Amino acid sequence: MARSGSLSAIVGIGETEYSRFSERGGRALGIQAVQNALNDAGMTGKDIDGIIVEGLLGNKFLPIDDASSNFGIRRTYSAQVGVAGAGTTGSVLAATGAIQAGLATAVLVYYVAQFGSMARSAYDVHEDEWPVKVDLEFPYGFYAQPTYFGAMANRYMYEIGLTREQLQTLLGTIAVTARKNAILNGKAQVMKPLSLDDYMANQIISDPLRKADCCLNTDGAAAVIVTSMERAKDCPRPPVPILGGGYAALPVSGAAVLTQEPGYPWMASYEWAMKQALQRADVSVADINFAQIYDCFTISVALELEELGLCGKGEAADFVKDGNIELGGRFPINTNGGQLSHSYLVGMSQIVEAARQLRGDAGPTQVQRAEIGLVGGKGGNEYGALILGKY
Amino acid sequence: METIAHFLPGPLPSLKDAALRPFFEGTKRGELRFPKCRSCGSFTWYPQPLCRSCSAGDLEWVVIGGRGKVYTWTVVRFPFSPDFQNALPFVIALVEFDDAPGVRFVTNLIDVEPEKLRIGMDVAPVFHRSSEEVTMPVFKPVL
Repeated sequence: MARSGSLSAIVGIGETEYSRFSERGGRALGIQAVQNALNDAGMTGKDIDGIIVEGLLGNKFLPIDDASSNFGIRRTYSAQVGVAGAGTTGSVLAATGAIQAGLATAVLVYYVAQFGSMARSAYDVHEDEWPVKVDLEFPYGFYAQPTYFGAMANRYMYEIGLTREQLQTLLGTIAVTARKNAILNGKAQVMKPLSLDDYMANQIISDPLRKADCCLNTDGAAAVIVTSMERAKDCPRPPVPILGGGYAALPVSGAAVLTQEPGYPWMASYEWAMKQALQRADVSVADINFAQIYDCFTISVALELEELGLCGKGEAADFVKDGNIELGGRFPINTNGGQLSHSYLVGMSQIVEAARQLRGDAGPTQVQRAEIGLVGGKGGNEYGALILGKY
Repeated sequence: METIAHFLPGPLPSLKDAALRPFFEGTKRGELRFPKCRSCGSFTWYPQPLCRSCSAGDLEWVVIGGRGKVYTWTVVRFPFSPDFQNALPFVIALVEFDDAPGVRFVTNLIDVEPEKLRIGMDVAPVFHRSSEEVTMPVFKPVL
């Protein structure tokens, strides 16, 4: 059921191969992803007049001016938006704004990940930005995302009244489902079978989290191109209308966000971003057929299912039962294996996967009734939600 | 029964950050201090120039009692920094205080068995003289 009134659409998608470590380097990967997206859109660099990238590391490995120089892009708009998953989704949302305001006609959004190649992978990121953490957290060993999310998982278990076994089944189901999807996808970074028994035997790294609860470290790149719906109709592939989107961040400092949130471990800004997206897209949760949910950790998925209103608060354990979130289930999530098994590009490859699903191009992982899809991306306190449709 | 032997696995603070100086002056004297707003009475943590609740600019560091409760915890069993290799496992806790609502202090728990870790357990500070310049508060269960 296509919705009229969408002002913007994704008209091109591009990806590289994904691996734990690529010798090719970020620049080459970025250029390949952008080239693939341009080819997919039937465009060259001459057609692009805006570039928007994520704000934390998004301009590091293929800076905006480098992309412009390589592809002959003459910009009337560029920007760096948000943090991590809120930045990639936020960049696509910002692209719709720039186009509607007439600041650009075709906006390129891309992300280059070098988490495999970086010396301390994704752990490097947080420590440098917020010096108070160096003095008040690092000495105690509260360092690296698994420690932050391990603490959140324990509080979640307490707040909901789950037993340890119930929590492990919840988290394990999310991990196992992701791996199943990755294997079917065929191009995922990790495709080794993972059963619930395998999950339970997996090494605990920061209680209660295991290695299998954590997203990948990926080297790779992905890109999309956004234009007006009008312009989209000239492109060779079916456009993916952007029905609506939202972005929200509450006033918490980056240093404090992982420990001092009043509603810990739930983030109020995530709920707020989703509300904006639903309102702008004029849909309800019941209309959404699938979701790419920011899975930096399994526990993040459980929390987001509740924060986004996809299930009630405390109900994630029930929601994931009985294959509900699998490809053939009532609400498929992370259809390519997500960031747990497919690729970790702070949400960029999840945006590409959502678009692929809505074009009907997902092959063995195609969700049967893919007409409206959600992409949700988090970055600390920030959240970006995109609701995409089928043309 | 595993008893946790390790704490403070990471490097000591540099003490370069002026905003934290009152905190570490306090710990050196065996005191826990947190910034409290003179205008609205809220605590702000981590320290910043303006109150996180009302944005007034008159925060003052107040001494609190020190006893608290475990708000949440995790037992770290993997060396996320190579420095931590010889300090595993150790316990992280976020400690909350009745007399400093809204503050969750990141710390290590000592003298504790992982099986006995409970959210809500009572803990008391131990001021660990880590060096001539730096005293770091860690916490242990109150029986």
